[in-house]
Amino acid sequence: MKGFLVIGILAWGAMILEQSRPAVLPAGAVLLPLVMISMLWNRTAGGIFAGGVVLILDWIARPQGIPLLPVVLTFAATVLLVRTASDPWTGTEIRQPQFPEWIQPTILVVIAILVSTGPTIVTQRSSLADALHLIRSYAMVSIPLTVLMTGVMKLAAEFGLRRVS
Amino acid sequence: MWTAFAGVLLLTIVITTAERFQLLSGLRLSINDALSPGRFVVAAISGKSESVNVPVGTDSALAPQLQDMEQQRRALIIENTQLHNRLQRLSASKGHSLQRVPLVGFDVVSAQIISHYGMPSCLRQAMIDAGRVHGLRRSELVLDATGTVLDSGIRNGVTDGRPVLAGSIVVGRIAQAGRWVSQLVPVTDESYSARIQLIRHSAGGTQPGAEGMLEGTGDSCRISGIADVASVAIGDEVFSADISGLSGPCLYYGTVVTADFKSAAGWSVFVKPAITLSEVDDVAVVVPRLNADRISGGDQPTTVRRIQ
Repeated sequence: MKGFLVIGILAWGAMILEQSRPAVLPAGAVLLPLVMISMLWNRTAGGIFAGGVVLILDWIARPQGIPLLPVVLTFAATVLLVRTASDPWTGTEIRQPQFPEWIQPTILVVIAILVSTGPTIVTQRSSLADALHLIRSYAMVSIPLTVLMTGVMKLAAEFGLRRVS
Repeated sequence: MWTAFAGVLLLTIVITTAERFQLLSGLRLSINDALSPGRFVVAAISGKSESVNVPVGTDSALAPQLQDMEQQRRALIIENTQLHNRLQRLSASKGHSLQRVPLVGFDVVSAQIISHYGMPSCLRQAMIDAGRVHGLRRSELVLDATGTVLDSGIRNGVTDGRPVLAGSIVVGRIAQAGRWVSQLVPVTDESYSARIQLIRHSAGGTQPGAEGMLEGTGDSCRISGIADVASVAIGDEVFSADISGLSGPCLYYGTVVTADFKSAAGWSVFVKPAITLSEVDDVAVVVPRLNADRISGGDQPTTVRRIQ
């Protein structure tokens, strides 16, 4: 419950920042890294669900096309976190290839940026330069923030503030 | 893990369906209202650092001047037409002028668009950072406040303490007013309608034209209810006939781009709006206010003055 409350408060702050400074912080530039880290913090189903709910609430507040982000990102996070898959026929467990933990948030944020900007680029038929500019405006904020928060997440694990399974 | 994903998928389907039936407007307003206290804090801390310094001598610097001149041109068209009408009335009344202080005046509340929802079909609304605490109510008109004429009118109270509204471009109307934020629908929305009057330029000056109802079609606007005997031409300019049923300054909607007359169906007139929602950042909401002079001084009988 405390975790949900913390995610809620942080998401509220991120949305306020984005609404207050739209020229510098495009919608989602701060929120997406925050949600990705919250999904991967405890690596539990609860974290993924909370992140998905925050993305849904963000879409309700600022709808952009259809709500692809919650579905795509919770799916991607689940795929990254599920370490093993069971063969339904033989019952044997198959170990899936895993990305290192430190790069997982960045992968999710890159997916999030592409899903956020993709529909706009396609519907507005933007030129390559415009599309790159749009992607860059997100990446310039989101990726450094994600790297920073990944560092915080690793530090929290080192100091015993985060449960690592 | 997969249960969490299934839960999010289910919730997404539910909210997409709810959005299709327009059931989320109240929740959207509540979420944006909940964000407002934080925005006020950020605004208070940062002060005016958000304002952008436009370099002098560039196209960007000239754009506001161009917009101001365009608004002044429209205001002059309105004034010219009103003088023309007044002259006709005076001629008809043999020099007797009816002068009365209007019962209702109009104030404006400045606001900024805090979010554009510019994607296709049903999602064409925007949120502005003014709400019920600023005196806004549903169905009040929202004007473009990009230029400095309207803005200086708001600050300095040009002409008897009232802002200069004539010729300002109508962006839309308040659809729902929350405590600190409001949702507006643009003039192109299917739910938008307003009484309008056409104004035509001719060799003899500007002439008032036909009246009708402006209705949004989704992408542009059309005018219905034009009398079959009236004449409409491409290039006629569309101004408001009233503000929410009250007589007030003429506001600008756009230009007639299609005008076809079919004997069976009457006039088919389409209007290109002067501005789209995506081009606007600063807006002004027109709020009707009872005229203090009429209230405090009592409702004086209409004065009839003989023109010398």
